[in-house]
Amino acid sequence: MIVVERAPPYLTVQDAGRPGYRASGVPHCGAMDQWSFALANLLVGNRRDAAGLEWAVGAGLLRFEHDSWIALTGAEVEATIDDRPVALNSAVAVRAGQILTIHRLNARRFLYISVRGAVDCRPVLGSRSTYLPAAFGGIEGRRLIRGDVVPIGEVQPGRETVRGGDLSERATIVIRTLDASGVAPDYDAIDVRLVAASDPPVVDETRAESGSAGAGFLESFFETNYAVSLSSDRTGYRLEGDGELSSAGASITSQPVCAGAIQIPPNGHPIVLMADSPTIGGYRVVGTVISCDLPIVAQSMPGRKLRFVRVTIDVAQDELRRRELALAEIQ
Amino acid sequence: MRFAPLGDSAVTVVLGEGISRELSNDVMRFASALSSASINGLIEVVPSYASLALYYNPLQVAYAELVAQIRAVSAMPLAVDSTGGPTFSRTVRIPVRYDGEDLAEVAERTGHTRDEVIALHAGRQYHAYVIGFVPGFAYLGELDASLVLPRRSAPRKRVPPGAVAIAEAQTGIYPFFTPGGWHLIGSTMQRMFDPTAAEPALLRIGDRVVFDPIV
Repeated sequence: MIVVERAPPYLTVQDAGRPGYRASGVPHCGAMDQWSFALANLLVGNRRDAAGLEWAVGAGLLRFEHDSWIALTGAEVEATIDDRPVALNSAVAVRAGQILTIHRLNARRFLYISVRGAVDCRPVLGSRSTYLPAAFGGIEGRRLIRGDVVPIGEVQPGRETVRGGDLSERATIVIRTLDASGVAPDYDAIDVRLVAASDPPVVDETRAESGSAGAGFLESFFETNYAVSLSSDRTGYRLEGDGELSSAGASITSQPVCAGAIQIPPNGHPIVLMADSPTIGGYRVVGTVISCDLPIVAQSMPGRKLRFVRVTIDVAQDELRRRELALAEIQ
Repeated sequence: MRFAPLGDSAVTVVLGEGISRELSNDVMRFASALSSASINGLIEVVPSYASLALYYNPLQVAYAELVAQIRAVSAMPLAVDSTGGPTFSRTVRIPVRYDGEDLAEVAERTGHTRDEVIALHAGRQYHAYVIGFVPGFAYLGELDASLVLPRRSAPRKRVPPGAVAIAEAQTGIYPFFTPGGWHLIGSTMQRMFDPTAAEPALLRIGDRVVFDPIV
């Protein structure tokens, strides 16, 4: 198990999500950056969807009670285990009693910490992910605080011991790294791909009433440079555009939505819905960020610039298949 | 019927415009037919007022193939009972103590006495149109026309679980501590959402809901 010696302002248990309960109003939930989350698991030999920790905002300390492997992915952080720097995007060895310190997050928003054997709290509605708005999942449905004990699952016999390495060395022992170049999201990209809500394009503006935006609006939407606003959380990221506010935003009869969907409320400031967003939304949806690019949005700090480019569903789904094949190969 | 992609892993099927019980029944019937049609790659079907969405695994089914399957289901005859309503509606009774913070204000603004507001709210059967906002929150309609008020201009930061509220032509029950802009007229001890249950939300879309005043 892991003991939280000092908690950052935001630390929760997350996994691949909680599908199947949207009709009861339960959002998909799960890790905001599913790519980094999956990679962290693969590095330590867990199932891709196994529960781990999602960390943001500040510094903190975790103590490990058993020898294990851990991996840090997602945000760029300064981290040490007993004063030795920890390599990111690598499986590294920790020994019982050692303390992992996250000193600061230098770039991006969410750090993922996987532990060999995975976080083993009680699943709620088929998932261990923490859903803060209704306070369930994870550890008591809340952020982790100092003193919390995070249970870790058993590892298959014969593979649990970390061997070799000299603890007097300056760096931690790297057990392995994975080469995901070529399929990993480009976290520095400004252009984010989306599938428009009207595909093929709707030319007739009058049809915009039913929740998809008209062609004229789409043009200006794609020409605008957006910045992620301060009021962004696990339910959605608000964006501020550099141009004229569009008048195409509107309240509509509520429709089902999902993570990645971009709503345009009447004030014209788009909202990208994220993992914990409500299951239905009452604002016009202009399009939905493709699954492969949603991690880029998720990792965007306030102020970061984004632009949206349109792709077809076929491109989006091909990209997803390509990434899936690459992950299967890594595994 | 119109299809609007919701990214690469979901599609919205729009059946009409606006809010009506007929349209809601159409949506429910179609959602139920889709759910039982064993569509390849389908994860879940989520109905709303005038549309529904299908969430699917694009590694198992491509968009065009999914749309073809949806069209095939829409061509099949749907189960309808003699009243024209869906065949699976339940009636759920919810005991309410009409002690809400805003009850006096609602009475004043609608020109009713408190007892009239209670009688009007409890004196009819509601239809559960949509579940959303937070898990287990059902949008119930329609309210008596004389009780229709816009949402509060300043939403409350924290509405307690079990609060029974009204806004515009709808009423609902808050399942958790959440922010809320509706007028609070009562409270119930009935648990609206239990994450440990197999079916966590008390109410389903299409349920008939009746409020029983506790005196």
